[in-house]
Amino acid sequence: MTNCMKRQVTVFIFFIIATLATAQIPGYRGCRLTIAYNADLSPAILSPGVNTKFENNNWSHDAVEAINFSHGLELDYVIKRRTSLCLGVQFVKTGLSYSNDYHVNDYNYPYNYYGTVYYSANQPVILKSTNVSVGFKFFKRNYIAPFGKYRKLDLVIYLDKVLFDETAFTLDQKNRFLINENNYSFKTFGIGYTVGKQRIYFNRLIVDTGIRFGIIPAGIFRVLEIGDISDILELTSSSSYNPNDLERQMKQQANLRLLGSQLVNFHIGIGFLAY
Amino acid sequence: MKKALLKFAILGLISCCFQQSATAQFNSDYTPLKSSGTLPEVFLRSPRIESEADTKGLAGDENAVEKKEFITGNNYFINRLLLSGEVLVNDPLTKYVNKVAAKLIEKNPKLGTGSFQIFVTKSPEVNAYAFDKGYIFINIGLLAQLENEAQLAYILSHELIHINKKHSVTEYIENKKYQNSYDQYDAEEQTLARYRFSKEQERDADVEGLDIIKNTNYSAKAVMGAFDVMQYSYLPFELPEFKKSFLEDDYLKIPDTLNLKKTSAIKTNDDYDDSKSSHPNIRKRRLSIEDDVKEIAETGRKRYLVSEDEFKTIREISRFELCRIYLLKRDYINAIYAGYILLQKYPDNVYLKKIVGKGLYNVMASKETSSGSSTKISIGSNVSYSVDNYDKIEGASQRLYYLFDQLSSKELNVIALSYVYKASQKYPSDNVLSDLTDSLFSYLVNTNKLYPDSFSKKTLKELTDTTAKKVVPEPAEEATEEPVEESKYTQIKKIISDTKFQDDAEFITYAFVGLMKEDDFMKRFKKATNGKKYGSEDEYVQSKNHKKKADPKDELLGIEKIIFIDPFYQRTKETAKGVKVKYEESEDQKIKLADIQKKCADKLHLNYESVSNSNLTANDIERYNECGVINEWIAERFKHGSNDDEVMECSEGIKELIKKKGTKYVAMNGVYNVNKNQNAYLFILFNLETGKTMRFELVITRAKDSNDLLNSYVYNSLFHVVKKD
Repeated sequence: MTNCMKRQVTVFIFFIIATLATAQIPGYRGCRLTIAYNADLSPAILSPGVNTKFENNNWSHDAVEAINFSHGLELDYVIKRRTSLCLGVQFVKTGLSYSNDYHVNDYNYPYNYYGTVYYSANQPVILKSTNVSVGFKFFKRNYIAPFGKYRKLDLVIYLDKVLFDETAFTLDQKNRFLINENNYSFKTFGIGYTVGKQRIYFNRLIVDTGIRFGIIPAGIFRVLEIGDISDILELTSSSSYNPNDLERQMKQQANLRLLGSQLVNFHIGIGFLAY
Repeated sequence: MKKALLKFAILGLISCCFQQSATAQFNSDYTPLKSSGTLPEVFLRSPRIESEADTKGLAGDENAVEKKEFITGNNYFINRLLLSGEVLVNDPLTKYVNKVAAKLIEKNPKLGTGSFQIFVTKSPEVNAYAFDKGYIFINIGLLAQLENEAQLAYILSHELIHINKKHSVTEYIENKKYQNSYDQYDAEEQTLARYRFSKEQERDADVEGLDIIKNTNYSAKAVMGAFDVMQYSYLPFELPEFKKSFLEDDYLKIPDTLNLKKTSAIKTNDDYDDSKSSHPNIRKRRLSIEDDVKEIAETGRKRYLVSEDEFKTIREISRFELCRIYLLKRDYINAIYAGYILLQKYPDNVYLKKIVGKGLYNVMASKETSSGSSTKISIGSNVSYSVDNYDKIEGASQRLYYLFDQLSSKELNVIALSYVYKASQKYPSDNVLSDLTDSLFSYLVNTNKLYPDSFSKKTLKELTDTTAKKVVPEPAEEATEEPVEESKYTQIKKIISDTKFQDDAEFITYAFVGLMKEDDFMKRFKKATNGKKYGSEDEYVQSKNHKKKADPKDELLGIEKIIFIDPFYQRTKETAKGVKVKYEESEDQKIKLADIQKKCADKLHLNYESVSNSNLTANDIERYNECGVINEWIAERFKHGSNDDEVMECSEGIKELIKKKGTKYVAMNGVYNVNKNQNAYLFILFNLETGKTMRFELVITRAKDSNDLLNSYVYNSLFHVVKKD
């Protein structure tokens, strides 16, 4: 983005905010801005959680730990009688996958190797994701934002990071497979759809509950094994003859993992009406 | 002998003077009744506390549940009725009916002194009803129809028996039993059984009511007339023939074709099918007491024990009240006819002239309801008014129904204007008549598109004479000129011209021949037309047709001050057995809603004045009257539905209120909640001056009627009231 474009976007955003801020919207008793802490929960059935352990040749975790948990902050601003603009940031931390073997095709480092690399740590690779979202809450007919039943549609940018112990990669589960990095960063996007209800207590406190459905196109195409489209959506190179092949596989796993964790969530939020 | 004659003469003179002074109060004007003095204790009681006290001793009673339901429901209903503003306090009518009741109780001490309270309600129905708690409500419509005091005494006796025998609660329990045994009876059988039971009670009240009369000195024979009152209650209080000359003058002549030659005979069948009626038919009722009445010796019995003059005054007041009640209830033709009847007696009464004027205006305005209705805010249902089918009307008033059915809006406009203008000339200081005249001029121009040019300044006779003069052949020398051949086109133009002359010969064309000679009439007419001429579409109509208005839901009104009236709140529970009202919960919610309303107004810096009947004290009669005025206005406004062209009868009382409160806007809101999870929220803002609906919201949601929901709705409503575009 050029500086000129940046300036134009900034002016445009200012214009929008100025217009929306002065619009004649009732809000809730005059309050239009909500600041809320949100949490989304879903069971981690097919994938590990952040505290899953590999013990006695088995993945295990406590029941509570088998819940995908993401949390974050959200700002809602009522822009129309039944519409809110929502800006949010959410943090996810979970285990990447139960599958701990990666296929590499490495000719150069430190010697030619073609085969499977195992991740032998007693914890799975950790996936950390920061989700930045922008969306709209559309309140149902006869409700006045920010109170009542709503449907929310949001666009999410996932800034992912997979963290692993670089010393835990082995060849044939014996010899160490050497890599330099201890994390990889990726980016992808998704779309979220929430059906929820906001209640207001003491004219200030907002409690938001609902069910959130999220899809990550890259993850879906990966599931459908449409690799090329998936590669495009993941913004990766299609080369599979690269030591970074490991990174690509982790990215695919991350997208699948995110898809799993975002697919259906119970959503709860607590916030307050700022003004 | 001489002494006796002198005494008779003096008494006659006094009676004559008294009668004259009694009617003198109606000669020039009439002021509608108002409550005064201190409020009776029953107005101040909380229905919740009263219900708790009334149901305390019910433990162990086999019908405790039904009785509790009945008592609670009744207490809340009575409270609502008492605070509706329809009930009069310390007025001449209430005082009089209580005097008659006192005569009954004096001779029937077993009825219990002080255990009854009788009120008069501003309703046109010919009816009286009682509650087991000892309250009797007599409608003004009944008082206006009675022939004598004895009839009133009998009706009161009938109601006293209902109270004494606790008929209402017994009937309620019986109905519940039928309802609960739906496996034994189908709906039809249940209904018939319920009516059967009710009829038995009515028969009891008729028969035992006569026993009460028997113990007094009221004429037993006179009471039989009470059944005539009931049988013919659907007819006006008197039946003089309606003469169209009432609306005519030297120039305005309503064609004879609009005058119904013969009116329908009044049906005399008193033995109608009463199987689906709560009361036995009139013949059965007559028969049930006829023999007993015959047995009662009439010696020493009178038709009047309190006072004949007072009765007649009271009846006259009731009839005057009835005129305006008819207007309030949108029964315009009955209002005009009642005004017509009374104007025969009091031809100079300005109040009656206003009644007739407003009645005429509203019949006219409602004939044009469809035009321009799209620009109006609908308040729920579009309750259109139409003149009742004259075929179904019996008696002399049928002529009036026929006439108004046949007249077009234009014709009615002209007739009303002629009538109201003349009245306003007679009473130049009366602002209502003056305003009504201007409104009729405006309606004539803007809606009916009739301008000064539309009316002839000469009578048909004068015009015919002039035309005849023109047709007279010119002097002979001109005749010597070559005759001009009449072409086809000249002939066509002549035919068109003749046809136009025939069309213009509608009776309204000549209606203002006399009035158009008056400067004031022409000045006002021209002011209304504002320079517009026949055939030109005026600005008002253009703006009405073409200006696209914003969605009324989003309109910001920028109003600084409003009047709040008590909100309404009803929580109900719907089950297969029916709907049950949660009285206590509704009361609590109502208080909450009123509080939310005030807090939201404060937050929006909206000034408000409350007109509320809650927490009344005995000296709050002024507050009680204010509520009465505003409730009456709102009830009338609701009757008009979407048509805000009709004039409001209550406009006079409301003007004082506007002045006192410093605003002309009144807001009302309320919630109807079913099973706690379905709500209908209503908010209406009226302009009291014009009757215009400024804002109307009806929001139906499937949600709990929680604080946040109510706050959200109320704030939004008031937000639109206070914010400016």
